[in-house]
Amino acid sequence: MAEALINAENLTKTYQLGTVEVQAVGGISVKIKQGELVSIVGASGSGKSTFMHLLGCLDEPTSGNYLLDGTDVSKLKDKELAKVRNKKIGFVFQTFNLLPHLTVLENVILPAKYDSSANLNQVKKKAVDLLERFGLGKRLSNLITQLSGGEMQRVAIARALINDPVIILADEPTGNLDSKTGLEIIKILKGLNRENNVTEVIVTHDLNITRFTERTIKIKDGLVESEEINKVVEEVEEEGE
Amino acid sequence: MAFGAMKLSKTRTFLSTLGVVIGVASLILITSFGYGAQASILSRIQSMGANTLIVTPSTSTDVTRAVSGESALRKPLTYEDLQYLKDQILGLQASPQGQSRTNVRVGNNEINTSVAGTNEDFLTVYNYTLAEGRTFFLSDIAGYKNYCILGSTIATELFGTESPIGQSISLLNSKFYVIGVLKTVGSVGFSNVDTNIFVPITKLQIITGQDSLQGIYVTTPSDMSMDVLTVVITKLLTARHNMANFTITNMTQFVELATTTTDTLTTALTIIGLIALIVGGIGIMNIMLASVAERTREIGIRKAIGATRSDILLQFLMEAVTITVLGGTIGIIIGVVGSKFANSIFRAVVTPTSIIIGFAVSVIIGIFFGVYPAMKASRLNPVEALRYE
Repeated sequence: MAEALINAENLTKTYQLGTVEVQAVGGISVKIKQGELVSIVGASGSGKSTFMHLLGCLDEPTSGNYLLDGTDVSKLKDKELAKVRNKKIGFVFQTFNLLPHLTVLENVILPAKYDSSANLNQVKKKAVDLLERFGLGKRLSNLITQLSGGEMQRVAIARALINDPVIILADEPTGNLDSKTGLEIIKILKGLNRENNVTEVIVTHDLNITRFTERTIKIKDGLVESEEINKVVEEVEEEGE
Repeated sequence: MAFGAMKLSKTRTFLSTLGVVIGVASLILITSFGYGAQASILSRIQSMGANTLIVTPSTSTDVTRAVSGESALRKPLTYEDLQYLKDQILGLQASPQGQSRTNVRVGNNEINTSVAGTNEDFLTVYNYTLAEGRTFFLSDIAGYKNYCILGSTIATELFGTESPIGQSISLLNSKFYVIGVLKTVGSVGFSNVDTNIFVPITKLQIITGQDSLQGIYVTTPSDMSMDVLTVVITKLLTARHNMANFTITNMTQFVELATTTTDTLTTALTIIGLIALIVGGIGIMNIMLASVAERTREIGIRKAIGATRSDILLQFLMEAVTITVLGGTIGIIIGVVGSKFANSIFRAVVTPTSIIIGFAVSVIIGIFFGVYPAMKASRLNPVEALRYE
């Protein structure tokens, strides 16, 4: 049996808000294998975002263990966590989170600037290839502000892939897009999963998205409510079909 | 990456950079004036020699003078005093000190310059050298002759490459004939000998109607010590004036005084320059703090894609230093140009040291005032930063 790429055991996260302790995540265990396409759903305030921050090493768990690609990241310090975020994880955010004063190309290669072992020429080539694949080959020197929402999210996906991460974490990737553009993005993500075996975790509150994924984990009140394997995984329909 | 802060608000960046520019420019100007003034005074004094005494009218108020009407009318130091001292002390060389500004005209060329009344001893007492012509004779002074000796610069300004000897100039509504030209001396603190015109003190006093001297410079005779000479002059003049309404300073005291003055001046002005720098630095710190706040989201994004705390710290520190070094470079250029420009009036010497100091100071200001905002930026929690609107 293949080793789990993500092996989260009993992760908890408790915040101190003044004198009150708030437990956002109460003890979640999740295993995700290489090549899986998983969705995590939950209502606002369910703890799914906090859990995603823990999975993405943006935040440290209050307790529990987290093995990512064989490394126990739950015990790592800030500097090493930054390295993990740089090399192992690719983020795609709802609000795109690109840098407005940089061009499309500069945004995509930005993670490589924080990787001391990166060869910038190779990285540039890779960025160009990715952007061409996503239909943005002619927009390399455009500023982000000149792009549409769908185009920006495609740049964000390219950025997420630039350092060859082991996993893509997408937090409401279609949240700021209209339904048609949203489906285009899902199509790209699915294409990466199918053709390049990229492991992806999509966090969403939109149940419509889940039908495109293999497995759906439902979070409620900081705990796993259910896990469902989708018997039929849908593909994104082409227009006019 | 360092231009991020500058792009965000050009006006704000410009204004805070201005503080650093002014601070560094001040430092350069101040140090060059300081060095220049000190160097020129010292070199002039050293060239004059250690056996020179200066007799000046005393500036302290004299009550008995005010009460006794007769002495109140008497001028403190006169040319007659000078002649008296020369008569009484064998081998004494003495020359009047003092100048005033006036216009000199040759043909259509009119220049505002300074004129000094002097006598036959002035070359030896002041250690000037003639470039051409001759110095004054006692007979010229006694005879109220309308002769003049020109400083090297004024000679060129009035006559170009022609020899001024024998030519006439119009000075104080009178005609004067040039009998000599001095070699270049350079400026001494706030006066420039090369632009001076020297005329017999007697002739000058007749024209202007003023018969008081600003000072008398004397050179100690070879068979007398400076201390003895001081005592002798004091006795003679006190008897002659019926009071001791004068001060005698020797060169050592003058050097000490001059050095102390310029040191104090330099220190005081350096403090002002440093205050300007600190004000500029605080401006930089404010602009960096605002920049960090505005770019909280950006910092969160950078951390999410792998920037460590040191990466962020370095990024913002570099931005601060870039701004201050830019300002410092402009300040250095302004300071150097300003010093060269001012060198025609006051002596101002730009040393490589002052430029290095100016540069180093701008780097230090950038680091010192940039480190707090940079640390704030590096310590931001990525999750909170990403949520920031």
